[in-house]
Amino acid sequence: MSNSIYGIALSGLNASRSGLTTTSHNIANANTVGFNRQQVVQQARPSQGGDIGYIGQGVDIASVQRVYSDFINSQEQKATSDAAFFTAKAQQISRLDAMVADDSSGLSTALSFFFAAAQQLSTTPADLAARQNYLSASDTLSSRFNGLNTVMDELRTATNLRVQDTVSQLNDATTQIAELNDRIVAVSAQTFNGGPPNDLLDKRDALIMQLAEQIQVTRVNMEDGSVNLFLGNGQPLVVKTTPFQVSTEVDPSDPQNLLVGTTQPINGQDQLISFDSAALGKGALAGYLSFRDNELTQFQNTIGLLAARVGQAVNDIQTAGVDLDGNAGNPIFSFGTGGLIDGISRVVPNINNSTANPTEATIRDIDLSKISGSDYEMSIIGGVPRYRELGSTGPFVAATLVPDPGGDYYEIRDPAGAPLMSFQLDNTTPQEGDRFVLMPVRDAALNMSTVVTRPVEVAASSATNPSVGNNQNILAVTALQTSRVLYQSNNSAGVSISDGFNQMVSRVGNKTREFTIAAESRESVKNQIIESRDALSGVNMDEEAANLIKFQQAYQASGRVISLSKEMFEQILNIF
Amino acid sequence: MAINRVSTNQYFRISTERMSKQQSDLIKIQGQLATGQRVLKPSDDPVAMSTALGAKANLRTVDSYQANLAYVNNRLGQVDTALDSATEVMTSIKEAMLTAGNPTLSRSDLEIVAQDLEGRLEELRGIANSTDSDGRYMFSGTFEDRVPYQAPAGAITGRFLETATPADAAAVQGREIQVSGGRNLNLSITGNDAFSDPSTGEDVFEIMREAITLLRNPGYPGGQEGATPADTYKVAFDAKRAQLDSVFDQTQLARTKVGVRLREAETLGQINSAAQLELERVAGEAVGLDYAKAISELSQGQLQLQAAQQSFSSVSQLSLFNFLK
Repeated sequence: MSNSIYGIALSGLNASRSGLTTTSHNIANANTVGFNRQQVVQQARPSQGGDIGYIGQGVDIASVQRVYSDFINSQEQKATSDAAFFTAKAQQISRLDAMVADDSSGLSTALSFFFAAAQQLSTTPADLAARQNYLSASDTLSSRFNGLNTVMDELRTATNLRVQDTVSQLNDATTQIAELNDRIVAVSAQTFNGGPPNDLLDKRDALIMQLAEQIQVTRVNMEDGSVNLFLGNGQPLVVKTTPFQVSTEVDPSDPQNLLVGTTQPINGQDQLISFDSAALGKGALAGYLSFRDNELTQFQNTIGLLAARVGQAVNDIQTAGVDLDGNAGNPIFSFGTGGLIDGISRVVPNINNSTANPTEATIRDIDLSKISGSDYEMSIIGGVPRYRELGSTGPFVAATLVPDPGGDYYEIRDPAGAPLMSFQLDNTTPQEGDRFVLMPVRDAALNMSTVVTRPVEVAASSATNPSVGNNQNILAVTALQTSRVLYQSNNSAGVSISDGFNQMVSRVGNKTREFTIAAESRESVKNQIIESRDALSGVNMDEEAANLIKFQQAYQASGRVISLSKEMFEQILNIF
Repeated sequence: MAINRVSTNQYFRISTERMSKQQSDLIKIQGQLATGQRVLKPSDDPVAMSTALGAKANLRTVDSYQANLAYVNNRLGQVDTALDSATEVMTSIKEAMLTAGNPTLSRSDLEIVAQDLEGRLEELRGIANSTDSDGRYMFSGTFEDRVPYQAPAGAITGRFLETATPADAAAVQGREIQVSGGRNLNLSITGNDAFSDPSTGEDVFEIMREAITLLRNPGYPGGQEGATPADTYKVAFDAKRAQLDSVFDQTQLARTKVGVRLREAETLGQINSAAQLELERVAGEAVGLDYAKAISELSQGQLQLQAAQQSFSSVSQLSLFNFLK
C-alpha cells in the first residue's frame, strides 16, 4: 500500500517540478520575440481495478504544449504583408512629399521668378541689367528642373537598393526556414510520444512572420512537421528542406531598374524568370517595386513633360523674335547636343533583342501639346511594330505606318486618332519579338540647360518693326505664364505650366496621404491581431507568479505525502 | 476589443506605443507652431497646399503687375512733364505767330519775330528729344535709342525718326506692358502722337520752318513800303498758323491720353492691391496656423502624455512577484 502511495507522491513531485520548470521557462522568455507560452498537460494515470473498486495511480505528463492558434498566426501573416506593402510605398513617396512644395527645391518659385523677370524685361527691353536678370532666372529655372530630376533619379537608385536589401533578407529567411524544417522533421521523428519541439516551432513561425514582411507567402503545413511556402502564383519559395533563391538582375528593358525573380535553367542556361505583380502580392518588396514603376515613373515623366513644354514654348517665342543686335533669336534652353527630341526622350532597346542585324528605334516627333507623360512599350509582333502604354496589360495596337521620302515612320496615336508621337526603325525587316521602351519626355528635366549667356541675345523684340524698345516678343513670354499649354483631356482647355506643377504637388500629397493612411490602417489591423495573439499566447507575469505558487504548493504537498507514507510505514514496524 | 487576458509584454508594448504616438503628435504641433504653418508638406492637406501654391504664384504675378504699374507711373509722369513744357513753348509760338500777322510790322520787326520763332523751335525740339531717367528718347516709341527729331543739315531733313531702321515712321508704336490679368497699358506717346498735324502728317518743326521762311520772304506783307501786298504769302502763313493750332490740339490730346492712362493706372493699382491682400489671405488661410487652436491642442496633448506617463509608471509597479517571499 505504502509502495503505491510512494509512487503516486513521486509522480506528483515530478509533475509539479515540470510545472515549475515550464513556468520558469515562460518567465525567462517573456520578452522573446515569437515565443508562445507553454503549458504542461497532465493526465491521471489509469487506475487499477480491485475488489473494492478502482484506485488511482498518480499523474503522468502527457506533453508540454504551446498555447498557439494557427488561425491567428495566418491572419497575422497576411496583415504583416499588407502593412509592409503600404509602409514601403509611404516611406518612399514621403521623400517626394517633403521636397516638391518646398520653396527652395520645388518648381513654383523658380517659375514665378522666371515670369517676373520677363515682366520686368518687358518694361525696359533695352536694359542690359533686365536682360541679364531674365537669363539668370532662365538658368535658375533649368537648374531647378535638373535638381528635381536628380532627386527622382536618386530615389530610383535608393528604391533599387531597398529591393536588393529586401531580397537578401528574404533569402536569409527562406534558407533558415528550410534548415528549421529539416531539424523539426528529424526531432519530431525521434520524440517518443510525439511531444512537439515547441521552441523550434516558435522560431520557425517568427521567421515566417519576418519573411511575410518582405513578401507575401502561402503556408502549407505538412504531416511530417515541415512547412512549404509558396508565392501568390504558386511558385515555391520553400519546399521541405529546399529554399528557392530569389535574385535581382538589371532590367533588360531599362538599365535603371532592377528586376526580381527566380533563376531557372532554361535550355541549359540559367535565366531569370521575373515575378509579375500576381506573384508578388503584398509585402515590402512589392511595395518598393510598385512605387518605382508607378508613382515615381509618373512623377518623373510629369517633371520631364513640364520641362520640355516650357523649354519648347520659350524657345519657339525666342527664335521668332529679334535680339538687341538685330539678329534672329537663338533658343534660350537646350536639351543637349542631339536636338530637342533626342534631348528630351529616351528609347531603351531590350537587351535580349537580336544581336544579328539589330534594329535601332528613334523617336522622330513628339506633339508636346498632346502627350500626357506616359511611356510606351513597343514590340515587333507579326512583322510590324505594335505598342501599348507601359504598365498596361491591354492589347498591343499596330503603329500607323506613314510613308515619307525622308524615311517611313510610324505613329503612336491617341484614342481619337490624333498622332501623339512618331518613331522610325532603321531596319526594314526588324526581328520578330524585339522590344523597345519609348520614353518621350523622360530625359527633358535631366538635360535642360540655359545656353544663351549674352544679355543682348535675348530676343525681346518682334521680327516686325524690330527696335530696341520693342517688347512684343517678351510680352509673348509673359503671356505663357497663364496660357493653358499643358494637355489635360480632349474636352479640356488644358492647364498652365505652374498649374500643371501644382496638380503634381497635389497628387504627390494625395498619394502620400493615401499610402500613409493605408499603412496606418493595415498596421492597426495587424496590431489588433497581435493583441489577440498576445492575449492568447503571451506571458503574463502575475499568472506565472500564481502558477509558481500553485506548483510549489503541489510539490510541497506531494513531499508531505511521502513523509506521511514514511510515518505510516514506521507505525507498522512499531507493531513488532 | 475586449481582452480578458493581457500578457505582460503586451501591456508594456501598448503603453509605450501610445506614449510614442502622443509624442509624435506633440512634435507635429510643435513644428506647426515653430513655422506658423499648419500644412508643412503636401500630404498634410493636398488641396490646401495646392491652393496655397496657386495663390502664391498668382500673388507673385500681381506683384509683377504692381512693379510694372510703378514703372508706368514714373514713365508717363515724365512724358506728362515734357508735354507740359511743350504746351508752354507752343503757347508762346502761337503768340509770336499772331504778332507776325500784324500788317504794321516792319521788315526788321518781322526778322525779330522770325528769330524768336527759331529759338522757340529749338526749345521745342529739345523737349521733343528729351530722354527718360534711363536716358532713352521718350517720343521715339520703341525706337527709343534714336533721336526723334534731328536738326536739318545736309542730307538730313529733320523728319521724325529719319535715321531709324526700318525708316517707317508711320509704323512707330509705343510700348505696352502688362499691368493686370487682362490689361496692357501703353507707356509712350510717340512724336507722331504729340507733335504732328494729323490732317497733313507734317510735324511742328517742318511747319515752323516753313512759317519762318514765309516771314523772311520779301513778298511777305507788312514792313515793305510801296510794295503790293502779296496775299498769297499771307494766305500761306495763315495756313501754317492753322496747322500749328491743330498740332497744339494734338499735343493737348496727348496730354489727355497720358492723364487717362495715369488714372487707369491708379485704379488698376488699387484693384491689384486688393487682389494682393486677397491672395495673401487665401494662401494664409489654406496653410497658415490657427495659433489659438494649435496652442490648446499642444496643452491638451501635454496633459494626455503626462497622464499616460504617470499611470504607466504607477500601474507597471504592480506585480504579484512583489509579494512572493
